[in-house]
Amino acid sequence: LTTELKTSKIKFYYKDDIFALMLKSDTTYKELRGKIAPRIDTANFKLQVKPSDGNGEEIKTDSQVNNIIRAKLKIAVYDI
Amino acid sequence: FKNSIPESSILLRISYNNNTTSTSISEIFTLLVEKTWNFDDLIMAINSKIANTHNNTVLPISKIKYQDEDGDFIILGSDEDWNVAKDMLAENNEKLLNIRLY
Repeated sequence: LTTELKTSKIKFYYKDDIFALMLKSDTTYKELRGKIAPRIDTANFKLQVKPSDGNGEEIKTDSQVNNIIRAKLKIAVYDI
Repeated sequence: FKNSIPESSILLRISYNNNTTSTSISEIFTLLVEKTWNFDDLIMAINSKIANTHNNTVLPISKIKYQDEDGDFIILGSDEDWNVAKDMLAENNEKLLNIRLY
C-alpha cells in the first residue's frame, strides 16, 4: 500500500485507565466502538466527549467521531 | 547514551512495584527489545526478566502501562496498543519508553 490515510492518536478514558488509539480520519462511529470494545470489560458502554470539566456531549454519529479525530479531543467511556 | 540504542530496538525503562514482600519495593530496570516483536514477545521478555531477578518467586505481571508524550500512563495490552506506542516513539524520534508494571 502506497497511499496512507492520516492517522491521529486519540485517547479514551475508562474507569481508572487511559487507552490510546490510532484512528484514521475517516473512522466511523461503529469502527470506533469496535476498537474500544475489546479493551474494556463490557459490551454495553457509551461514549462522551471528555471536556476539561463537567460532562461532554454523548457521541453517537460518524460526524461527531470525525470531529473528535480532527480536533484531537479526548473520549470518556462509561458503562451503561 | 540514546545513540547507543540500535535503530531496530527500543529501550524500555521499567518501574515495578514488587508487592510480594510485606514492604512494597519499587525497582527500576531496563530491557532492550526489538521493534519487530509482538505484544506476546514483549510480555514474555518482561516476565522472564522479572523471574530471573527474583528466583522465580514472583507472580507474572498482569498489567503494563507506558508513558506517552503528555506524561499520561496508557494501557499497553495488545499488539495494537504496542503499535500505537511504537508510532508515538517514531513520531517523537525517541527510542526510550517508560513502562510501569502492575
